[in-house]
Amino acid sequence: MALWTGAWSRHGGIVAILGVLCLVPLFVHNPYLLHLFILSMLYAMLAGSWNLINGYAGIFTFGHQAFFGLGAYTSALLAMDAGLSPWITLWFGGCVAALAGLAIGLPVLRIRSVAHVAIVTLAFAVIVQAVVSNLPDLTRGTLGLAGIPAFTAFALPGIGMVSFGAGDQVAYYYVALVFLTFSMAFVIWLVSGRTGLALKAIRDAEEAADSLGVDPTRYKLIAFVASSFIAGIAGAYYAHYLHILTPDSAIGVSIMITILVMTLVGGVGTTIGPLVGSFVVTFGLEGLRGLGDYRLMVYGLLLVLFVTFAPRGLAQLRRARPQLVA
Amino acid sequence: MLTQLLLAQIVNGIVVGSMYALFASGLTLIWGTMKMLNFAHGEFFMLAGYLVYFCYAVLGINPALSTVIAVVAVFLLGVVVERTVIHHLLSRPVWQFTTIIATLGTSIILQNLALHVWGPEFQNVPYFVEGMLNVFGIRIAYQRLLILGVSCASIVALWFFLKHTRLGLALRATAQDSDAAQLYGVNILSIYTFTFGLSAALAALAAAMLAPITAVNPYMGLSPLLKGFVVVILGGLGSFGGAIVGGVLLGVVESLGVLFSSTEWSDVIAFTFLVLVIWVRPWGLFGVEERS
Amino acid sequence: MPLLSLERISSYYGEARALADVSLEVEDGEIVAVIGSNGAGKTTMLRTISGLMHPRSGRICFQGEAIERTRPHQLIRRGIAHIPEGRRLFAQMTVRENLLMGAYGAQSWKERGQLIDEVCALFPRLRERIGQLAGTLSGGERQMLATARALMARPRLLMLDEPSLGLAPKIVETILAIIRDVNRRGVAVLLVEQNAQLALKTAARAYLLESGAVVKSGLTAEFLADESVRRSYLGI
Repeated sequence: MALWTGAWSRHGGIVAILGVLCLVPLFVHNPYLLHLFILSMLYAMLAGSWNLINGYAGIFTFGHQAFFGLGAYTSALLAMDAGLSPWITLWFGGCVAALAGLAIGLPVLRIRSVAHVAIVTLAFAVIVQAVVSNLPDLTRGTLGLAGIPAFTAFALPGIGMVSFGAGDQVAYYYVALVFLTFSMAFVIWLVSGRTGLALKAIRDAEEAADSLGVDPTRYKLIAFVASSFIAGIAGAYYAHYLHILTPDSAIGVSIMITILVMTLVGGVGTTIGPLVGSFVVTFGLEGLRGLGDYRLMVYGLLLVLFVTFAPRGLAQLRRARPQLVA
Repeated sequence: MLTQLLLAQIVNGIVVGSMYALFASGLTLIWGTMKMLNFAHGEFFMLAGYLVYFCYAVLGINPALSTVIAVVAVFLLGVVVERTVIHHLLSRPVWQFTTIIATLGTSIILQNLALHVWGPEFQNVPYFVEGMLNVFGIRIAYQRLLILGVSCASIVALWFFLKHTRLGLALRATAQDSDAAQLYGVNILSIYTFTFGLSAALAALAAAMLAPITAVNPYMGLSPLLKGFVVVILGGLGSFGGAIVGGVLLGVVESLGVLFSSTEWSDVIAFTFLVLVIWVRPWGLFGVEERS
Repeated sequence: MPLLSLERISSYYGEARALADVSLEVEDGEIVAVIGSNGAGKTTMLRTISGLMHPRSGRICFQGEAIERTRPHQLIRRGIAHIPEGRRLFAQMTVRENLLMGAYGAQSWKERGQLIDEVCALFPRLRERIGQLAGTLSGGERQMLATARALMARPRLLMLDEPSLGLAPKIVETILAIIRDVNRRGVAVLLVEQNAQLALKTAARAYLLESGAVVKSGLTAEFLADESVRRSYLGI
């Protein structure tokens, strides 16, 4: 417990950002801007979850979009076809993603080579996308799912009914913020505790950690499952926020690329990195409105530039000398 | 009738597979010497396709020369990419990760560049040679025989180069032990650059041969790249022979698979097969087991 | 002027100092031994000389020219051949191909062929195994091949890192005899060994490295007479 509260004080930056985010809807009323904020928060969750295994455990996976998509489709289909409340199907989405994480984690974690892991996880995501695209009876195929139900309204003491209709951007915003906060707290808890130390030891010197009795596989698996769970939750939220899903928008490689760009720009292996990166990239690209078409090309350039000149992302600018960060 | 259909598909499979083999051997060559994955490999393929389209279909330059132009130009492009994007990353920490990112970024840039310059439409490239050969009732287009001929010749040439030339020896030495190679006079940085260019040239050759069959568009590099990865992993990363065998195998399996199921599922089958193989034999069919 | 001289060389692995102000000389035609226990910095020293590592401070001169910043592949041309720890043969190449790599810098294939003949005269066993993969050779044969490969480059200075490691005494004797023979033809030898007895028997001068620093240097006779050296390194 002491480790955890100590960690919070070290993560002052994150607390500050989350605090600011709490206040944003008081000043920003433009629904499109709020939409950007919500997307940034979702991506912060997603990139943060990917960063958990890559930045901390040192496992470079290339198929994280599969967990996002599985969470999204599971939650959407259960809500649409089984009539369950999205508040419930959301967790199913996370669980299905976590199970997938377990299924792909087990073979992947035995592989030591970065190249093999990258290709196998990419293959897994391609399989998932292809399967989803080719089962139109279940998933409406490449045309996509439309009309995904929104979150059901609930009563909040002191505020009244919180509904999630078309104009209720602010409600969506705060729910996303709550999810983001919880997922960051969870990641920080995981990373600061014994699991986190073990993961860092594994990342930095696997054989040494192994000889000290740290079972690498067990900790990597925990990180893997946790990471895919969070990604699934993010995906489920995305489904019930946008109300539309296609295999490409939910499981496409462009999602993985976006994660890479955001994490790289923000700082790999730091908790604040994906958070900063997702906002910077989302709003930065909006700022360069004219380049809308060129979004992907900008991503490509960012990847090359950052990996060459600022491999530790923006987070490295705050530090005097490059060091392995907590 | 069925046997003829099967044979025809197998022949087609070998033809296309031989091009997969060429493409994949480029990937495995880079892996062997530089221990990195080149995610931009598909874009070298794509750009060569466009060059052949431009030279042959638009300008009317004869196909042999068009192919040579494409191969040489893409070789040079490969050299430029290695020198600008990859080079400095190799000596830095976590290069296996950073080089994937850098080549991925390059791939995105090149792909979108092509998209904006030429648009997303498919461009057709006419066959280099017209006509069909009729053997035992099986009809094979001369174009496909040409492809087979070129791929066999290239593979033999590549094997000869690696085995019997000074540069080829240096390349293999670098792949096996880069420290020792340096101690005996090999400038491994130059080898890296050359290998990258050579690999790109192999992809370019494959594209030039396949362009008349598959048509040219900015996304044409994606599928070969994914399949190329499947092939090199199956064949064993770094194994030249494995890439050849794997490529032809994939071509045949795909070709036969089309008979029994739809094309959409062929990718899924290939990848599921890959994941299963990795589970059982992480180092592939011909690879060298990495003792950790 | 000595053939090779190190002047106050300090090398680091990251922040950890592996060599501290090491100074050393090898004259033309000499055999010099460097002894010390595991982790003393002997291998680091050789890697620094051959350019696989760059020193943080100090100078290395070979035939009067500073080489501390030279890249490894250029040094063999100047005449420094380094047989690394563990031999580092090209395991998936044949004996012949390994030898050819030794003569990578030669001007013609004809010259390479001649060199192979010369070297196989010294190591007839290699002639027998000329088409075999290097990885399938026995330990002694591997050391022979590694030595032969280095000799293919016609070096002025031959640096060996623990040639005796893992080999039976009889084979080690053979190798040392060849090294002495090669030395008689004018090749200087820098012999790094954990087996102090062997090293001191073969060399004329020696240096003792401990924790990255030279703690003793002089004629081998002095070493053999030194009480503490005898106790710690010769087990006498």
